[in-house]
Amino acid sequence: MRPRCLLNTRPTTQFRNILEGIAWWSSFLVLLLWLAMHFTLIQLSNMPLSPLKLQYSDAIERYVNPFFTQNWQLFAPQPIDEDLALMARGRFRDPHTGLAQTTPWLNVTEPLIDEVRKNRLTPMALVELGEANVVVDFKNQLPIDPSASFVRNGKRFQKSPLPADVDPRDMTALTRTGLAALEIAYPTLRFYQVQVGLSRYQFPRFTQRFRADAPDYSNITAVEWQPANWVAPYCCVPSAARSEMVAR
Amino acid sequence: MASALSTAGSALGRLREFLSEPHRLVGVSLLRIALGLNILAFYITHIYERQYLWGDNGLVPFGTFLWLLRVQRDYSLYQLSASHAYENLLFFGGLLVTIAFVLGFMTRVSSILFFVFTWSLYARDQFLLSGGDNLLYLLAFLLMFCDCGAHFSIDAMRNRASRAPRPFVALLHNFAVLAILLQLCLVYLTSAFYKIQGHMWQDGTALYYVLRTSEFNLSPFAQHFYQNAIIVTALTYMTILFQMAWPFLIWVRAARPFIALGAFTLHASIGYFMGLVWFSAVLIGAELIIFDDIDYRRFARFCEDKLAALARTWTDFASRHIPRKWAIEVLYDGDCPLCTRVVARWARSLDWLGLLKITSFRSRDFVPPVGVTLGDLEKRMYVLDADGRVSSGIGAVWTVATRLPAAWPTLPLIWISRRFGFGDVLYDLVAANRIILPVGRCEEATCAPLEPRPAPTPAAETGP
Repeated sequence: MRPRCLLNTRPTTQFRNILEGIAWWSSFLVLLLWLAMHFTLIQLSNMPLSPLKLQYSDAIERYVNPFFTQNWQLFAPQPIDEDLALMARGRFRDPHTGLAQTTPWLNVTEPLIDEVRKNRLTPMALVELGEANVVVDFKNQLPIDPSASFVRNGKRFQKSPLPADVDPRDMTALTRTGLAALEIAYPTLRFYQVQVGLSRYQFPRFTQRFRADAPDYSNITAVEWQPANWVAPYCCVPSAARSEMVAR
Repeated sequence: MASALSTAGSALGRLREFLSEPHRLVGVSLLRIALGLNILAFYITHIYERQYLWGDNGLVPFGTFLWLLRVQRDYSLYQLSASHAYENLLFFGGLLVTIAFVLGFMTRVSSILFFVFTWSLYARDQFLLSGGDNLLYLLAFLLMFCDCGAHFSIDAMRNRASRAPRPFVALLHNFAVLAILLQLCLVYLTSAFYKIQGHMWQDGTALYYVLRTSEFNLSPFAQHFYQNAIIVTALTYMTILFQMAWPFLIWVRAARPFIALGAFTLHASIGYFMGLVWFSAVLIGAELIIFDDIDYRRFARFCEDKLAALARTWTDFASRHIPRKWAIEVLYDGDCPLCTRVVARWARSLDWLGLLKITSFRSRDFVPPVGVTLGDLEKRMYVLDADGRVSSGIGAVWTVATRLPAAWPTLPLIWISRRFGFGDVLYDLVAANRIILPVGRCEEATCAPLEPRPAPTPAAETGP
C-alpha cells in the first residue's frame, strides 16, 4: 500500500468552495468599504466647507486630487452676469523707420465667439473656452469694488484696480492668448512686447431686459507690458474675422 | 431565530449569485463607444490647433506645465519631453488608442491606454477643461474595471463562445458600474445643491443671465426665450428640479426613458444655445448607462416588432402594387457557405420589393428547370423569371440586382462587366473557388453530417 502524503492530497470540492466563498466575500467587503470611502471623500470635497470637511481636509485633498478632482458648480450658485472680453495690443518696430509703434487695442474674445456662433463644432470653440477660463480666473483676482479707496496719514488713496501680483500661470496664458490673436491680426509684424487687459460690460438686468444696449469695451483694466515670445497661432480664423479683429 | 438566520443566509446567497454575474453589459459597452467617439471627434477637430492648445509654443509653455504638475502632484505623458516629435507621437498615438477603444479591440488594454492618454491630454492644458471632460475622465477611470467590450466590439466578435463564469471579475465589474451610477448621481445632486443656494436660481432669472452673456448668446432664437418671463422662470426651476430628481428616478425602471429624454433635451439645448458641445455630448452619452440589460433587451424586441410590422406593411403594399411579372426565382447552392451567406444576409434582407423567391437546388424536393442539369447548377447561380426565361452567372447577378433597390448603385459596374465580357470570367473564378461546406448544419467548429437524400419510394410518390 502506498503511504498517503498530506501535501499531495487535493482539497475536496467542498473545501475549495469554502475557500472561494471566503475570498469572494472578502473582496466584496473590501470593494464595499472602498465605495463608501471613495464617495464620502469625493462628496465632502464637492460640498461647501463644513466642520467635517475642515477636520479631514488633508485626507480629502490627498485622496481626491488629482485623479478624482471634480467641480459640479455648473453656473451656480451665481451664473456669470456680465460680458468679459480679453483685449490685447502689441509693440513692434516699424520695419522702415525702426521706431517703436503700438497697435490699437484688439478684442480677442468677440471674433472667437462669432466663429462658434457660425459653427458649434468649430475648433475655435476650444480656443474660446481656454480664453474664457483664463479671463474668468483673472477677473476673480480683481478687487470686487474697482473704485475702493483707503485712508493713510489723513490722506485718501485710490486702491489699485489690479492685485499686487496676478497668478503667474494666468499671466502667461493671458499674454500668450493675446499674442496669438495679434499674430493672426497682423501676420507681417514681429511683436517684442504685448499688453493684455480685461474689459467688462454689464448687460441690462432682467427687469430692463428690453432696453436697447450696445456692449462697451472701451474701459480696460490692463496688466503691465510683457515680453512677447512667439506663440503657435490657432489656424482657422477666416480672413474676414481677421480683418474684423483689426477693425475692433 | 433559526428561520431568521436561514433567511439572512439565503439573502446573502442571492446577493452573491447576483453579483457574480456581470450586469449592465450593454450599457457599459455603449458608454465605451459614446465616450470614445467623443474623444475621437475631439482629437480630429483640433488636429490643426494641437500646437496652440497642447504644445510648448502654445497657450501653456512646457515650463509652466511642469510647474503646475508639480504643484498639483499630477502626471501626464506629455511631461516626458517638450519636443514636437514627441507631442505629435502622443497626439496621434492617443488618436489610435481611442479608435481601438471605440472598436473594442483588446478592450482591457485599450481601456487603460484610453484613460492614460485622455488624462494626459487633459492635464497638458487645464485651461481647456469644462465640466464634460471632468466627467469623462472620471467615467473612463471606472470603465477600466468594467467589461466594457462585452458588446459591439471586435473582442465580442472574436470570442463568440460563451465565456466561463468569472465571479471575481464580475464582482469588480458590478462595483465599477455601481460607482459610475453613483458618480453620475453626485454630478446632478451637487449641481442642484449649489443652484438652489444662488439668488438668481431662487428668483427664477438665472437662465436669463446665462443666455444673455455674449459667450453663450449664440442662437438667433435665444432672445425669444430669455426675454419671456414665463419661459425664463419655468426653465430655470425645471433645470433645478430635473437635476434634483435625476439621482432618485434612475432607479425606477418606468421613469428611465423619461429621464433620458429629459437629459437629452436639456443637454442638446445647452449644446445648441450655449455652444458647449463637448460637455453636452458627454452628459448625453452618460445616460446610456442608466438602462440595464433588461431595458435594452425590451427595447431591441420593441424595435424588432416595429420593424417586422413595417416590413409586413411594406410587403403587403409591394405585393399589391408591384407587378408579379417582375418576380424571379433564384436557384443557389445551399451547401456553399459563401452563397448561403450572401443569400441569408443580403438577398433576403434587401428584398424590399418582395420579388425574390430563393430556392436551394440541394433541397430534397427540388426539380431542375428544363435544359439545366444539376452539374450546371453546381457551377453557376441560375435565375428563372416569370416568363420561364433562364439566366445564369453574371446575367443572373444582373437580374437579381435589378430587383434589389439597395443594389442599384452597382448596376453600372455589372453592366460594364457584362458588356466587356469579364463579368462571367470573374463570376466563374469566384464560383469555382467557393468551398462547399454544409453551413446551415454547423455549430462552431463541428458540422453534422449531411442527411442522405432519401430515394423516392412508390409510397412517397402516391402519398396517403
